[in-house]
Amino acid sequence: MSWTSVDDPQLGVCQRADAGARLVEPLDAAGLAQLLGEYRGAFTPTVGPPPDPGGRDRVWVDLSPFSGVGPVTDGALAVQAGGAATWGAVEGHLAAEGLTLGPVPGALWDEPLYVTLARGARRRPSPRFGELLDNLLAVKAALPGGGLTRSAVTPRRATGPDLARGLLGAGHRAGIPVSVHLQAWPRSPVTAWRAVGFAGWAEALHGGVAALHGGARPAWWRFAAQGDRVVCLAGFAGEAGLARFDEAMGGHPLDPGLARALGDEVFGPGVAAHPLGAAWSGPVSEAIGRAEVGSEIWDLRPEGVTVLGAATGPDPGWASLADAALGVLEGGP
Amino acid sequence: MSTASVEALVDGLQAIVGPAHVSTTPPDRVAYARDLWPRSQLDRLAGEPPRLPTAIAWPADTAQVAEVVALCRATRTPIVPFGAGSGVCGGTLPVRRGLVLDLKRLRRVRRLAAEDGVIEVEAGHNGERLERWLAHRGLTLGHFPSSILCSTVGGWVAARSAGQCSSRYGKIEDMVVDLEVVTGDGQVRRTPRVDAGGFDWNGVFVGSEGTLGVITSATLKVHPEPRARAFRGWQVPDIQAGLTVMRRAMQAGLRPAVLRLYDPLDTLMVGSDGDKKAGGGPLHTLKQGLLGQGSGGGALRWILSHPRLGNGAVNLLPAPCLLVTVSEGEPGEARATDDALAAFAREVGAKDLGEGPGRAWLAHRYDVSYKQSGIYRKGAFVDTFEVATTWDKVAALYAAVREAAGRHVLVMAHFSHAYPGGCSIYFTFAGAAPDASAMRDRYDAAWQAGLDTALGAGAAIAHHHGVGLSRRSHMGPAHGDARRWFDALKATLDPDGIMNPGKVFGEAP
Ligand SMILES: Cc1cc2nc3c(=O)[nH]c(=O)nc-3n(C[C@H](O)[C@H](O)[C@H](O)COP(=O)(O)OP(=O)(O)OC[C@H]3O[C@@H](n4cnc5c(N)ncnc54)[C@H](O)[C@@H]3O)c2cc1C
Repeated sequence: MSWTSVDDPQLGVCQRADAGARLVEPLDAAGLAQLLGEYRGAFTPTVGPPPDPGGRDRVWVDLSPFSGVGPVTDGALAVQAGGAATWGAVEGHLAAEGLTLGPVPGALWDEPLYVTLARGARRRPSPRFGELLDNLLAVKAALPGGGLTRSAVTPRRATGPDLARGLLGAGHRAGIPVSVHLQAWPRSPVTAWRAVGFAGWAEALHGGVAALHGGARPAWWRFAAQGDRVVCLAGFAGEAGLARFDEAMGGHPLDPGLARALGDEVFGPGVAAHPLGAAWSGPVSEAIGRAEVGSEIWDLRPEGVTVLGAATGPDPGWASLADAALGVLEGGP
Repeated sequence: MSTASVEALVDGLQAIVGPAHVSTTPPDRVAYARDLWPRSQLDRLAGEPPRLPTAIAWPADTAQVAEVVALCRATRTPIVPFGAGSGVCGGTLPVRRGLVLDLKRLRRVRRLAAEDGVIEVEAGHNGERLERWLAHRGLTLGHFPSSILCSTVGGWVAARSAGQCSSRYGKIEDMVVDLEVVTGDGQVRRTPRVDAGGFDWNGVFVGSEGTLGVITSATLKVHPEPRARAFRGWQVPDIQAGLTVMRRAMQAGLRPAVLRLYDPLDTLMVGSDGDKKAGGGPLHTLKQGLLGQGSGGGALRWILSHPRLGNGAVNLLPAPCLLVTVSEGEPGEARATDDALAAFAREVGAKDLGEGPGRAWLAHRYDVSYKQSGIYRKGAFVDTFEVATTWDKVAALYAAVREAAGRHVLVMAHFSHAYPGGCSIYFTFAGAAPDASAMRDRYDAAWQAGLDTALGAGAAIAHHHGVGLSRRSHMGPAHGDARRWFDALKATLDPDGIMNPGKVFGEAP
């Protein structure tokens, strides 16, 4: 596919494809807001030219100008990244400064931040570093119908409804993040690994919850059925309650090398192994039943579990409310 | 509202909640025309009459709330949800009159699933009673706002509350699993679990301050009560050193229950042993006055009428400050956290003051709750102003707010609610002026200066007190066009605009 270029000083660089699809690249955040005002939702975001431009009237908005990463704020360790930057690019930038986002699931490594936000992905199996969302300090977005949001870079959103969270899970209809601030952490290498076997899901999950209550904070962990047993593999960065994990977890110890091998595969630039969208979340007691059939627990917290491969669809009532609100937003000011 | 429409509304309300649970009597209307926003106290002192609600209703359950909302929708009657009225931003003031809906009869614990780490509790449940109820079962929510004795679960969620142990248990938004809400269209809805993925409806209702619907129950996370606690006080060389300890602790992944750093004036007020025992001289007068104690207001008024002098004197105070830490959990975790904090504190040259300050803090943690009005009787005022920002800006923001607001009021502060990325600064403003109207001007000038400074510094203009009326003027500049997103949600969930009109972002343009 060859794109021929037509410059439009008002809308940034506008290029047309042979097939008639358009690829529009805004120059900056204000330009993107103007574009979204113009196209009122009838566009598809992309980073760089899409491999398949599609039909004649398709409009692509190229978010490449929002791919930058940095700087990192001193002290606060808040890293600024464009909405089109990938998680891997952010983590790479931080690694060079001795910092980290905490474990980035392999499935997210090459995904731009705006895509993850649009999908509403928020969890990761890291008691030490918390959910992805807990680490989202600020989002600035261009809105459908035009306009730019503003948001203080702050450890907790503090006034009114959390409008930054409103962007989550709404596809691209609630807006396109142009700039995101994420919490980074001092990089402390994983220094200890644990593998623990359990007779069943109930023992494994109760052991995990007891370890959390005891103060254990693995940098990452994973629970999966293996034959007739359930295995928990965990990696610890620094002390982070390792002794308390050993005290509280129960089960029987296995070779920690199992965990060491897995850590590199699941986190970092590994294979996109996890269908993060297709998961069921619910209380521990219900998860025990589901996990017998599901293969893997993606995240375990005292108040809830995410089981991979056992998805339930969105609630239709809420979906139609979201649809209605997004319709109003797309209508413009 | 015409007399006939008021009568029709009251008849309708009585049919839903019963005649004993509706009031239009003047005492009730006066009592429900306020919360604990100091600005409205100053209005009263200046002789300005309050705007009274048309009626007050006390529904018993969610079904009644839904029927009341439907009735109000049909009659275009504004509704102000009311928890305990401990809000300090004017959030419950009935600025368009209408109905105040007091939720305190919705106070059942619907479900405790200790094995799943959650409790579902109705919105009107009092905070302290809930903690006591949980404590009997060996559990805790971990949410201890200073107003715990006089606030409700619904008010916490609606106004984004933070408890004193937020560094360990999180703010209320970190505790919500799901909510039951009667939206402004009269529908009863339960939000998807917070971990469900997709659109985050809990994030929409938390902090909505009654503008989108009435929260009728909340499922919240609960934890085992801590089996061990380690208390400690540190004398840190200065504010920056104290902030460094807090920052390093949070970035190291520690979860202390309390990290509370007092600035030099607040350190003096608290006393280096953390106990608010009064000493003597001007400080004694100030301390007694701010706590609403002591007799005679002349000296207090004089001190507070000369804020530049007062703040100038504060600049001469010795730099060392008090840092109080409380570590809790299972014995191993409490000990490990306390040890790690001690290591960070020693690195900045802090002096160990032993357990006293932490224990004294615990003993006095709710002292502030009932002692606000004494100072007004002495012809002065006091208010608090909390903001949040990232570590790189905390010290500069503290200095800038002191400088800007300090032209109008005496300013002191403590730093608490720490996160890996930053913390909140909790300022106390105290002022006086010759008459009520001049007091109001002084109060407004201090707030304007504080909000402008926070906004200019790129900080969050609040941390946990909400918006109500007091910060509404700065919401537009703080959020930019995100206001459109709020308006879209409001148009969908509250199509007739009856829910707490005028609050948070104000009326739609
Ligand atoms: C002395 C003192 C100390 C304080 N300390 C703290 C503190 O440590 N931490 C803290 O976070 N706050 C503190 N506050 C502020 C206040 O207590 C909180 O904002 C609290 O969350 C309000 O709860 P409430 O039940 O009294 O709500 P109210 O004051 O009745 O209402 C607050 C707002 O929420 C809305 N609302 C109330 N209930 C509902 C509901 N069920 N559904 C929808 N909307 C509702 C109201 O319309 C209003 O806009 C303090 C206040 C005082 C006076």
